[in-house]
Amino acid sequence: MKSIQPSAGPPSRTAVTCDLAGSGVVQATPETLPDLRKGLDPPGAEPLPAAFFKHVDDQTVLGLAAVARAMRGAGLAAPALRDWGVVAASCLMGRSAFAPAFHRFRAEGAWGISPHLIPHRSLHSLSGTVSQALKIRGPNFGAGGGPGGAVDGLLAASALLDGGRVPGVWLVLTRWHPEPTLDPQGQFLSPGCVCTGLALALTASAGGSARLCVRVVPAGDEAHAASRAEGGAARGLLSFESLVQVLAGPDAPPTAIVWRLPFGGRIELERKAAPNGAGPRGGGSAARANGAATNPVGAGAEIQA
Amino acid sequence: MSRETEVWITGVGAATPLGADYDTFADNLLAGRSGVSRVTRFDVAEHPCQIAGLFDPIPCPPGHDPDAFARLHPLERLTLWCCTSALRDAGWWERRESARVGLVLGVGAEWLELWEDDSRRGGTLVLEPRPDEEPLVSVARRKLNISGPAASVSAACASGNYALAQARRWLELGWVDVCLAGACDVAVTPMSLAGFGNLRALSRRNSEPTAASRPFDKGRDGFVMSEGGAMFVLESAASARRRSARVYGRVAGCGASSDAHNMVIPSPDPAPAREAMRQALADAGVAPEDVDYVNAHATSTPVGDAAEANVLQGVFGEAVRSVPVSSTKSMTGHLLTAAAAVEALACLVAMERGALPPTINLHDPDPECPLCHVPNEARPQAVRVAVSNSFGFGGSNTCLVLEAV
Repeated sequence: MKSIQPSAGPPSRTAVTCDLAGSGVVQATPETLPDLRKGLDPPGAEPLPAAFFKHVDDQTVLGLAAVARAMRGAGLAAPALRDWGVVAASCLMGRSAFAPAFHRFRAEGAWGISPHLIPHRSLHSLSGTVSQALKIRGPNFGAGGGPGGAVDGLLAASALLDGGRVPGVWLVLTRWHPEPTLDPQGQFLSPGCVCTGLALALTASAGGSARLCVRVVPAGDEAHAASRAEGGAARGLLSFESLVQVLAGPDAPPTAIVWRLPFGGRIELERKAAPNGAGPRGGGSAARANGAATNPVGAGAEIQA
Repeated sequence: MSRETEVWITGVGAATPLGADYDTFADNLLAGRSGVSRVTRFDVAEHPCQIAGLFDPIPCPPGHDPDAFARLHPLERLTLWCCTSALRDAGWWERRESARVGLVLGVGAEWLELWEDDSRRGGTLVLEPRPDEEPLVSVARRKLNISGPAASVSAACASGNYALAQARRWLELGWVDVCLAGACDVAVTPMSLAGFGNLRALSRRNSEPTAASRPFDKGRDGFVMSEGGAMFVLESAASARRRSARVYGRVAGCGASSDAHNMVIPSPDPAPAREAMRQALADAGVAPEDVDYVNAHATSTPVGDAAEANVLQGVFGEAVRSVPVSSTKSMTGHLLTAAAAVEALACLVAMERGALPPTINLHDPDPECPLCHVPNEARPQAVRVAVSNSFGFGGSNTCLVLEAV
C-alpha cells in the first residue's frame, strides 16, 4: 500500500465526490454465522428477530450487520435514513442454498423447491432486505453480483448519489473469501472461509470530515489519468479485499489511496488523522461475529474533505 | 437541462416472445398477439405452471461464428444479440472504437442460471466455482469490444428502468459518450418455473396458454413467466444531431422508491409507488395531464394489478379515467429482470407507430381496477409522452418517462 498527496486542482465534471459518513465491517465464519442470525438491533429501527433471518442468505446477514455497525459507529439512526438509497453488491449470492435445491429438485421434482429461494437469494435480495429492515424508502438495487462487483457497486452508488435525489446512499459489499467448496447439501468443505460485510454510508460532498472521491476518466483522457496515477500512487485494481483492508485493516494510510478502475480512471479515498483525536464522524468500525472487535482503523481517525 | 444535453435513444436491439427485431416486435404487439405457449424445452409435467413466453433460437449476430455462438450460455447469446443489434441499429457498430461506449446491464440471476444449466449437464460449478469466473457484463464488454465503464444492476423486475436511469446519469456525468442500457433474462428454467409456481405467483391456466396472462381482468390468476431482453443505445442530443441519427425518443424522467414492506408482497400503502411516479414526471417536466399512455407493470396477479390501479388513481386523480393504460405483459408474459426494458421498447413502439398497444384477454375488467383500458385491440393515437411503471421483488418501485423528439 502506498500513499499519495491528494489530487491537485478541482475535480472535473466526470468526478463524483462523496463524503464517507461512516463505515462498518463485520466478518463471520460458518461457525459464527448462526450467532448473527439470532437477531440484530440497528439503531433507531425495530429489532430484527431471528425469524427475520429465516430465509435470507448468509451474505445478507453480514451486509445487514455491517450496516448496523456503521450506523452505531457514525451515530446514524434509522429514521434519519428514510430517504436514502441502498446499493448492494453481493458476490455469488445464494450458492449454498442453490446447491441443495438442485439436489432436491432432482430427488423430489418441482414441488421440492422453496418459494423463498429466488426472492431471497438473488442480486436484489440484499438491498431489498436492508431497505425493509431499516424502513428506507429511497431506491434500492443490486449491482455486480460476481467477482469484481465492488466496482459496479461504487459506480452505481456514486452515480445515484450525484443525481441529487437522495441525501445518502448505503453501499453494501459482501463476499466469501476464499470462495468455499460445498457438498451437495450446501455444507462447507473448505476450511478457513470468512464471510465479510462492508457497509459505506455515502453522503453528498459538503465539506465533511470524510471523503471518498470516485473519479472516472472521460473519453480520450486516459493518458492524463495514467500520468496522474503514476505521479501519485499506482495501486492495483479496486477490489473488495483492498477496500476492507483500508477500512478495517491495521495500516491506516496518512493521506490518500488510489485504486485503478479496470476500464480506465480511478477511485480515490482520502483521509487524515483527526485534528483532536476525537472519535469521528466518518469513523469506521469493524468486528468479528463472535464480538471480538478487530482494530478498527477508522476509529479515532478522520478522512479529509 | 438544455436540449443539447438531453439523453436520446438512437438504437434498439431486442429478442422477445413477440420477435427478435424491432419491426416484428412492433407488428405483433399492435396486432395483439400472444407469445405464450406450453413449455416443451423441458419436462413440466410436475410443475404447477406449464406455460411461458419463449423464443428460440436466439439469432446469431453478424460476424460471429454460428457454431461457437450456439455453444455459449443462452444468457450470453441473448445479451450479445441485443447489444450488437442496438449498436448496429444506432450506427455505432462500425465505429464503436472511436467513442467511449459504456454498458449498464440489468441482469438479476446470471449465476443461478449458469449454475442450473451446468448442473443439468452434470457439472458442479455450484459446488466449486471456477476461480477466474468472469461476470456476464465483463464478458459482454470484452466481446463487444467497447471501452467504456460497465456495470450490472438488478432490482428484480424493475432492473431495466434502473439500467436506463444509470446510463442517463453516466452520460450526464461525462463518463461515457454513448451507453448501452437495458436488461436481459432467460429465467424460464425448471428451477425458476418451480420456485415461482410454488410461490403461487404463476397462472395455472395451463390449458389456455394464450389466454393465461390477463392483467386487470377479473379472471386473472397469476403471471406467466417469459424470457428475452431489450438493449438501447443512449447518447446526448448533440451527439445524435451531429450524426443525423434516427431517434426513438428521449429518456425524459426516472423515478424510484422502495416499499420497505416485504420482499415479495406489494405494500398496501400506495405512497411509495406514487412517489416514484411523481419523481419521474417531475424529472421529465411533464404534468400528469400531459401523459398520453401508461404501460402498466400489471403482471396479472390479483393483488398486484389492483394495487397499481390504486397507485395510478392517486397520481392522475380524476384523469385516471381518460389516460390510456395497458399491460403488454398480456402478450409478452412477464420477462422478470428484462420486463422493464421490453416495456420501454413497447412505449417507443407506441410513439413511433402512433398506436396504443392493447391489454389482451381483458374481457371482464376488474372493478378494483377502474382505469382507461385499451382492451384487446390496439387503438390509433398519437403518443408524445409515455410512462412505464415497473415494480419488483425487494419492494422496488420505478417509473420511466419517455418523450417523443
